[in-house]
Formats: sequence, C-alpha cells, structure tokens
Amino acid sequence: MATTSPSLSPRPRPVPSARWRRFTKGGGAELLILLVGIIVLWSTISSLIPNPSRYLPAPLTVIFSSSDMLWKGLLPNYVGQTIWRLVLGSILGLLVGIPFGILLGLNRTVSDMFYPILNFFQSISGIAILPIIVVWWGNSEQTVFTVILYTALFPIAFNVLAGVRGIPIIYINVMRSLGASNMRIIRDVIIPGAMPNIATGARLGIGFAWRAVIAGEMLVGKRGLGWMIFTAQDTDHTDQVILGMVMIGTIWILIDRFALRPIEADTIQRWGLVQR
Amino acid sequence: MNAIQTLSVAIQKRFGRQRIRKIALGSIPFLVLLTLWRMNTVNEWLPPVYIPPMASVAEAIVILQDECTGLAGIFSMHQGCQFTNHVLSSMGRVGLALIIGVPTGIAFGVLAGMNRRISNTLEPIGVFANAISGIAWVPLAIVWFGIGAMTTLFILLNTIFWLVFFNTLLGVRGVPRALENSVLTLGGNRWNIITQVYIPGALPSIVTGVRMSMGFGWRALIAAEMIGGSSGLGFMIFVSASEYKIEEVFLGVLVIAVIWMITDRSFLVPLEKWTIQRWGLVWRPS
Amino acid sequence: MAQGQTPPQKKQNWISHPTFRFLVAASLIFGLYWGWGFVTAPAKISPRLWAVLEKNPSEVNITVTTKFPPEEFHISIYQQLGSMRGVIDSTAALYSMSVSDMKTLSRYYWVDKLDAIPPKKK
Repeated sequence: MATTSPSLSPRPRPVPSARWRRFTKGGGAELLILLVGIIVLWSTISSLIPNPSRYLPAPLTVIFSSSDMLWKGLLPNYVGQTIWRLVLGSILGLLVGIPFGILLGLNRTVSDMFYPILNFFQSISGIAILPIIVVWWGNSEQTVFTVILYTALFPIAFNVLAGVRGIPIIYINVMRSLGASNMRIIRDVIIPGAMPNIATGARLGIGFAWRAVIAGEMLVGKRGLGWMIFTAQDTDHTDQVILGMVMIGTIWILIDRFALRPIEADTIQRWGLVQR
Repeated sequence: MNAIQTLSVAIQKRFGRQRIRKIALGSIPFLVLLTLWRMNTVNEWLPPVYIPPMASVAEAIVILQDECTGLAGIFSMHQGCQFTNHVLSSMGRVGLALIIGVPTGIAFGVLAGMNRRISNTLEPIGVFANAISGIAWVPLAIVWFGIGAMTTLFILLNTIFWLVFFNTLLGVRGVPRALENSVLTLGGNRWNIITQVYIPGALPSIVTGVRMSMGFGWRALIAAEMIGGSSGLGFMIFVSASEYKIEEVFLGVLVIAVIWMITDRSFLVPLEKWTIQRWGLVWRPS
Repeated sequence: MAQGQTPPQKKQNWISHPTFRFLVAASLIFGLYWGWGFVTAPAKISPRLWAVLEKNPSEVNITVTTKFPPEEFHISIYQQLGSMRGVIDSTAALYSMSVSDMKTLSRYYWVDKLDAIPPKKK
C-alpha cells in the first residue's frame, strides 16, 4: 500500500502490512532460517550415513514419495480413512458423552458416585483396552472403532460432569425460584455454565482419539495413516514413514488450532466465569 | 448404640464427613462392577473367553510367576518371573526416562526461553514435535533401533522431553521481565537469574509439563511396547491377547490402571499442589 | 462499566467463527474431491464400453488402465469390486463386475481408462 502525500515525500514508500510486521517481529524470519537449516542438516546427514534409504532418507526422497503416493491415489485414501474414523468416533463420543455427563452432573449424589469411576476409566487409555477388545471382536474395523469411541468418550463425560458440578448452585436456585422448568434450567444455566468444560473435554477426547486411531490402525491392521507408516517400516520405505509422521503432526495441528482451540477459547471468553 | 455412635462421630471428625461420603459413594460403581463380574462368572452370561472369572485373573499371576526363584529372582529379573519382569521393565523405563528426560527438558527449555527471539522461533518447533504423537514415532524408532527395549525407551524419552521442554519454554517466557532485571540490579549474575528467577517462576508450568508428560508418556510406553517392544506390560497384554489368554490381558490392564492411579495420586497431584502452595496458581498452557 | 458487566465486545457472528470456517473449508475440499470424480468419470469410459452398457447388462467385464503399474493397494480395490484376472503392464482385466461397481471404479482419479474386453481372436 503506497502512501502518497502530494509534495513532501520524494517517492512513496510501501508500508509493510500488519501481518508482515507480526511475522518478522514474532520470530518468523528466524523460524524460516531455522527450518532451512534443519533441512540442510537433514540432507547432509542422509548423504553421509551408510544406508540412507533405510535409516534417514533425504528430504527430496520424502517429497518424491509423497507426490508419488498422491499421484497414485494412495495418500488421499489413507488420510481419508483415518480422518473418517476420527470424525465418526469423535461425533459419537460427543453425542453420548455430553448428555451422559450432564445427566450425571445434575444430582450431587449421583455425580459424587460416578466421578471416581469415570476418572478410573479415563486413565485406562484406549490402547490398553485394545487387546481386550481384540480378543472379543477380532481384528476388525469394529474393534478400531470401539477403541476410538472408548478413548473419546471418557474424557468428554468426565469433564462435562466436572463442569456441571462446578456451576454455582445459586444460579440454579435463582432459576427455580423464578419458576423455570427443568428443561429451561438445563438449557439456560447448565449448558452455558459447563461450556468451557465441554470444550476442554472435547479437545482432550478428540486429542486422545487421534492418537488412538493411529495406534489402532497399527495394531489391528486396517488401512490408514497409522497402517501406512507401520507397513512402510516393515518394507523398508522409510521415506513413507517420515511422510506419514509429518502428515500426522500437520493434520493434528490443523485440527487443534483451527477447530478445537478456537471453540475452547471462545467458550471461556463468553462464559468464562468458571476458572480454569 | 452409644458405642457405635461415638465411633462414627470419631471417624467423621478424623477424616471429614464430606470425604467419607465421597469415598463411600464413589466406591459404589466399582462394587457394582465387581459384583456384576462375579455374577457373570457364576451365571455364565457371557462365556469365560470374553470375561474371565476373577479367580483365574488372580491365578494368572501365579502361573506367570511359576518358575520364579523368590525375591532374589524377582530383583534380578530371572526369566521365570514373567509377571514381575514385565512390571519392572515398564516401570524401570519410566524411571530412567524421567531421570534423563526431565532435567534435559528443563535445561533446554530454560535456555530456549531466556531469549525472547529464540523462544519465539523454537515455539512452533515444540508445537510440531508435540503434535507428532509419541505413537507416530514408533515405526521410525523401530527402523533406527529395531524391536526391543531401546525403541520403547526412546519413545518414552521423546514424549517426556518435548512436553517438558515446551512447557518450560512457555513458563520461562512468562516470567515478568522486572524480576530478572531486579536480580541484575541487585548484583546477581546469569546463573543467579536462572536459579532464582526462571526456574521458580516457571515451576508451575514445569510441573504441569511433568504431569502431562507422565500421562502421555505412560500411554505411549504401553502402545510402544505393544507395537515394537519385547518386554513390558504393553508387550505382555498384546501377546496374551494374540494367544487368547484373556485372564492375562485383564490382569495386565488392571495393573496398568492401578500403577497409573497410584503414581498420579501419590506423586503427581501432591507435587502440583505443593507448587500451588508455594508459587500461586498452577498455570495451564494454552 | 457497571459492576459485573462484561466489556462490550463486538458481537461475533458464528459464521465468521474460525471453527465454522475450518469445517466449511474441510467440507469444500471433500466435496471437490468427490465431485471431481463424478465429473471426470464418464470421460474415462471408452465408446466400446458405452456400447456394452447401452444393452443394460447385469454384469460387465472390463479392462482398467492406470498411468502406472497397479500396486498392492490398487489390486486390492480391483479385487473388492470385481474378480481380477490378470495384469498386463498398466492394464488389469476385471470380470463379473456390477455396473454400479464399475462406475465407482471410474470415479477414482488414478484410473485412466475403462474399456470393454476386446473380443477374443479366434
């Protein structure tokens, strides 16, 4: 954007936009240099070690293999399958976990009763449950899906329960004294009051579920990103392994930064009377 | 009736009425589950291959420890003491990784956090490294170290290091400038700043980082042992599952849960509370 | 500000919320991917195969050509959709495919051409 004042400045100087200034000030330029440095270091190490295609393929090899897999249609298929499992498991986990948590949280006695056991099952990770489910249902799609559902469900239910419990009882009493029905109380007090915890629980649950998808695919052998890096390791395609790892990290960053964290920050901003 | 009343009042005074109420209520679902389990075995609702009888789960310990040569055998990891071997392997890895990973993570985190430019540059790296969950590192670790103890240890170290590093970095970065300037004006040198300002100031987030890394690390360890390990609890339950020995699987899962609960309750939560008491709110990373 | 009032913030429309935009972008990507398949599929079917399809058969036998020799991934898809009977270079022969399965196959973007089995030279 050039600012032109008629007579004073000899020639118009472009003003850097706010975004560019944020980028350079916030260490963006150094980050780029660091990334370039990492890639250069990586290439150097790959060219020095004895068997690069097995131990540390050069960055170019990784890029080639990724474009190869993209061209041949493997990559979108794998990514799609993994994301599909995550989405399905997360949605079901939310649909079951949130009402469950709210219902349990309404009554103080009931919530005190279920708090420890939800905490218990939240700490048995889905991966630890996986062998049990494999014995029950074999190496099937159903197994992977059950594990994902389990992994997502308990953090959500537990956090929602804690959130509902944390609502000051005076709000509920006020609504009652004004003659509100139960549904009204749930809609206007409980759900907004528990929203920060619902958002936190969803973020935790989906985060755990993402790890569970990858691990489940590796252990049960259903096609997807986790499967891809596991079999690539087996067949000496270390470039695919690295590609898979980068994709896993990138996808999680995208989901977390653009979908999950804004919701969490937003609910805290709007209803953040509950202290984190 | 009077003796019972005085006894119950005494217990309530000692432990706190609310606490007793919570413990009593909280144990009800567990008791219900245990009862259902027992009834399932007695009434055969589901065949024992799906839900093993409690007795055989306990028996599995004995079977696994069959050729064990007593306490000496346990501690020297004699190959007959399979159950304790697996437990000790897993816990040993955790201990080792903590000893190596936490100080390294704190050291690098402090170094990185001290300079604002460096910390802004390294923060995305930390974010990315944490986003590649420990599990995704397993195949690469298998390529580098083969299947075995080194792989599992590496995964655990990796998870712990990056989480502690990242949280320390954020914590050190959040220490107000005025504090370090005041140490400088009082004649302190760099080392004083680090020990007196940065580390205590970042301690809440360091502790949060340690707690998170233990949680994620324990899960990652179990998964890594399943996929690429040759010993340890994760390995044990996976192998038992493939042999359809569900009693051993149940045993392993219960042990995993119990170990985690004990560690969290008796070690990590008090650590966090101690930090709150000394240095204020526990800061939760965004 | 009165006691207990939150500072007036510009009322954020839920449409401009980052999560909503992310979900919209993701759905667009999926939709485009899927739509692309539908749009390009008919062009992949050779005239000979169209002629066979005109007669509304219950099953078809086709050859499917890709731009590269099919790998294990593609072969497993072939075997799921029809019974594969052999690969020459980049072309595979699939027998006893239902018409809908054939159309599914044509939508994959890595499939180049679908053709009817050339008549055997007696």
